Amino acid sequence: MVIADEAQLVRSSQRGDLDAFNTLVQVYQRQVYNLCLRMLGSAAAEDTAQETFITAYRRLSSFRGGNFRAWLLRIAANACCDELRHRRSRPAASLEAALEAGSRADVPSPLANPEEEALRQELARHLQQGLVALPAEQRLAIILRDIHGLSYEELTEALGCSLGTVKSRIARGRARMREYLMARRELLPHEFRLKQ
Amino acid sequence: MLRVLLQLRHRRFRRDLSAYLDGMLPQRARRRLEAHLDSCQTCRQELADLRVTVEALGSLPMAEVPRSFALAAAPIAEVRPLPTARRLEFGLRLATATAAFALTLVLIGDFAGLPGGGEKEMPAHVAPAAGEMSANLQAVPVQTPTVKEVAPGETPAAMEAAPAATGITDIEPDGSLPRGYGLGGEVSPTETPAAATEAPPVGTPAAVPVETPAVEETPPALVAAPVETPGAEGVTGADETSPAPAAVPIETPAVEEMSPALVATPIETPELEGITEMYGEEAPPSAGVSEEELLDKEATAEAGVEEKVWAYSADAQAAVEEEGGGLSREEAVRWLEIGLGAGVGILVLLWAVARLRTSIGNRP
Repeated sequence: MVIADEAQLVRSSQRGDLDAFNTLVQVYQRQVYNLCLRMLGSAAAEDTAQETFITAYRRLSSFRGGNFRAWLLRIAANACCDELRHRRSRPAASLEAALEAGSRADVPSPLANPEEEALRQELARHLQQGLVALPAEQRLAIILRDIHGLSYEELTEALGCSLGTVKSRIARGRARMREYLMARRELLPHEFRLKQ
Repeated sequence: MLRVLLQLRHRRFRRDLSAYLDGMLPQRARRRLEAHLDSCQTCRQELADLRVTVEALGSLPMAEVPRSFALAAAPIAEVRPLPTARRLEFGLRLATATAAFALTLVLIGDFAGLPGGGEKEMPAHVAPAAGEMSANLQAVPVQTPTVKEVAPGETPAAMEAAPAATGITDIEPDGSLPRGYGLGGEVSPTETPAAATEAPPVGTPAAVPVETPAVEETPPALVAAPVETPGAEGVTGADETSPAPAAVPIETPAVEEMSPALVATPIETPELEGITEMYGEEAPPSAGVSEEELLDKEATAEAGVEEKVWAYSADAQAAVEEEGGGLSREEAVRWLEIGLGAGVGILVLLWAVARLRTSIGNRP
């Protein structure tokens, strides 16, 4: 999607053009859904993703140019945080839901042989467990940076904080993920095995 | 000492590794870190581990969406159900506004040197009526028009009383006693204000039962003989009090409502207001913007012409029916509750004011 096209679509959407907005939905729904999936697990991801787009449509007037993806992901991130806060009253459900998130996300790749595939899925499971163990703000930062590949500038928008805070959240999140993987190094595929 | 400093430095470098990996370190900090990496095996290892971690995270696949999240229809503006707090607030505001209005009327009456005796019956009149209404309406909200009838029903009756009172100034001392029953006692010039204060409770029950059938009666019955219905008679009796003060200047404060200056007789206004509130309609006190109130005023002004009053009642009925159609049953009940609450609050206030006034009036 060319940037100019996106700006045009956003403007049309702001004027109430639902088709234009739905084109934007088509472009970004996978990212929004995957963010929700990693944050919440598959059970709540679908609803939260849908809620994100509804909220986004309602708040289109508050979008004043800039990075639409970051703006959208911020709405999604807020929706996820709301959901997590809501879940705190029933903690048992939340952990399970978050843990099973990895399973849904792991689409088998047709090229890999069965053994490699099994190892890859094992790694994904561990990574998801490690992510779940992170504080929500660090988890958000790590997911958006290392899985979605947002730039630091986009991250400041999507997380609504300063560059320094973004850097620090990513650094701390990564350090914890590293420790997590280190503790399970023998379970991981060869190339991801961390040395002592 | 040196070791501690080195440790601190090392820790700072470790913190920078993540940003370094992303190429987000400023040039000077990056050069310093690179120099440190050359000499520090631990940091080199940690950097390598971090790189692997980031790669592992990057290898996580993105799931396909289970369905399209495109919006089928533009979401409507957020429609939040009216929270209880806001409803309560509205009810309270309404009550306050109406109370202020009622108080203003009382004060105006006070300054105009009008009698206030008749006022004491008013709460009694309205209270049972309100009860009746709530019962009727909660059971069958569609019946709202029936309640509406009370307003016009009383209006002509009371109005009838007003001219009669002003017109037959000479006759009242005699006429009031036989006609007014319990109320007659209140009227008698010989009695002290203290006695007058106690009289209303006696008069009240007399007026109440008479009033009640009027409420229950169907509009046609009322249309047929507005003045002759027992309800109307009762009201007339009650209003008979007014002539008395006119004749006996000492009693003047007793009937505050009958001032000719106030074309809209205050007696009715609070009553009607109370009823208006039963519908949960906003009745801005000063402006009298509420449709019903406006109509009420009109009705009061033209009270002499019965037909007009009845035309009004029909109109009002239609209006209420329309309104009933627009509101859901639950909503109507909810509003009724608020209205009733507000109405009762106002009645209590009015009663308090009446008591206060009487006690002030008792002083020589």
